[in-house]
Amino acid sequence: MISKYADKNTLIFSITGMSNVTGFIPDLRKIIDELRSINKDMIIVVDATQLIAHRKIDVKEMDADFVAFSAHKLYGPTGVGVLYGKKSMLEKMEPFSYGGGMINKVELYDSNWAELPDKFEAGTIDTPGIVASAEAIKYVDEKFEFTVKYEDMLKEYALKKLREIKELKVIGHNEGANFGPVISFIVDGVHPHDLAAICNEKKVCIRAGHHCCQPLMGKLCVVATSRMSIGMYNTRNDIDNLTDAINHAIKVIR
Amino acid sequence: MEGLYREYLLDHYHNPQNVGKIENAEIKKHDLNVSCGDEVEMFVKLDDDKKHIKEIKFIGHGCVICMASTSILTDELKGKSLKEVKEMNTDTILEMIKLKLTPTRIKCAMLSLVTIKKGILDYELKNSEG
Repeated sequence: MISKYADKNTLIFSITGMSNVTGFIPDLRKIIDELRSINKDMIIVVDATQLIAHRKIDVKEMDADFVAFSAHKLYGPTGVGVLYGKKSMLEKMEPFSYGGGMINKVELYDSNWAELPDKFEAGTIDTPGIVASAEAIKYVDEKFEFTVKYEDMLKEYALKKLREIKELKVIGHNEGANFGPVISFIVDGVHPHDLAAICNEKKVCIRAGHHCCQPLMGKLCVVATSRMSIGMYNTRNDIDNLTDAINHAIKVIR
Repeated sequence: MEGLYREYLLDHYHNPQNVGKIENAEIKKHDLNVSCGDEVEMFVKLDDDKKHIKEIKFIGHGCVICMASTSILTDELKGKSLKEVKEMNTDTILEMIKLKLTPTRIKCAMLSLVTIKKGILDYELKNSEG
C-alpha cells in the first residue's frame, strides 16, 4: 500500500504518527519496514506531535531517521519542541542557523562546527521553555500506562455518546483500526464554527475548522469539522457536557 | 460572547433576505473563507447614474454569523453609493449585526462586505480601462 506513495527515487518520506483530524494511528513499524525495502537510503521523518502524549514511542524500535514533537501537546509550554535525529544523519548535516555556541574553532578565513547537538543550537536557547518541557515530559511519563488506558476508556465512552446523536457523524474511528483519543465529527445542519461557539458558551472547548488539513477535508468532502480532544484531565462528565451542548446547538440552529 | 446566537441573527439565518442572482449585474463577485468554507457570490445592479446600488442579491452558504451578516448587509446597502460602501469597515459591520466577535469570527462577518468591495474594485478597474 505504501508503494503508492514512495518508490526507489524517494529521498524523504514524512508521515504523521497520529492524525490530528481523525486520531488515526498508522502502523509505523510496518510502514517503515516497507519503506526501507523500497529504498534503504530513504530518509524517514515522523511527526509525533499528536502521538507523543497518547502512545509510548521508542525511537530505536521505530527506526525512523527523524522524530519531532512539540512540548505543548504534552502539557508543556508553547514554542518549544524536540527533534530526534539518528546520530549518523545529524553528523552528515550542516548547521542551518548560525550563532553563539555552535562553533568549535574560528580563524579569520576558516571555522569548524561544535559537536552534536551544539552545532544545531545556535544563539541563546529558550532555557525556561526547555526546562519546563523536560518537567512536562517527566510528568506525562510517570503515569503513562494509566493515562493511555484512561483516555481510551473516555474515548470509547465519547464515541458511544456522540453516536447516540442522530444528526452527528463521527469521522473515522472504524472498528478494528487504531485510533487515539481525538474525535472529529460533523453535525448535519450546524456549521462547525457555530457549534464550537455554542459549546464555548456552555463552557466546553472544542476546535472547529480545517485543522490545517485542507487536502484531507477535500477528500472527506467537508469544508471543516468539529474536533474534541481528550486529555488526562478530562472526565466522563466533560463528555456529557459536550453532548448536552451539541444537542443544545442542534435545537438552537436547525 | 454572551448570547452570540440572538433571535434576530437566527431569523436572518433561517430566512435570509435578498437571496438569488441578478442577470446583467454590473458587479458580480465570488469569494470564500478558506479557513471555514464560508462562500458567497454577490450581485449588484447599479442605478442609471452608475454610482448607487439599485438592487443587490447573493447566493452562498456558511455559518450563522456569515449568512446573517450577509443578509443584514444586503438590506442596508440598497440605495447606498459605491463610495459609501468602500468606506465601510469592520466597525460598520459589527455595529450592524450588534455583536462583539473574536478575530476568527470577524472574518465570517466580513466576508460579504469584503467580497462586494473587491467586486467594486474590479468594476472600477474595468471601467477606467474603458
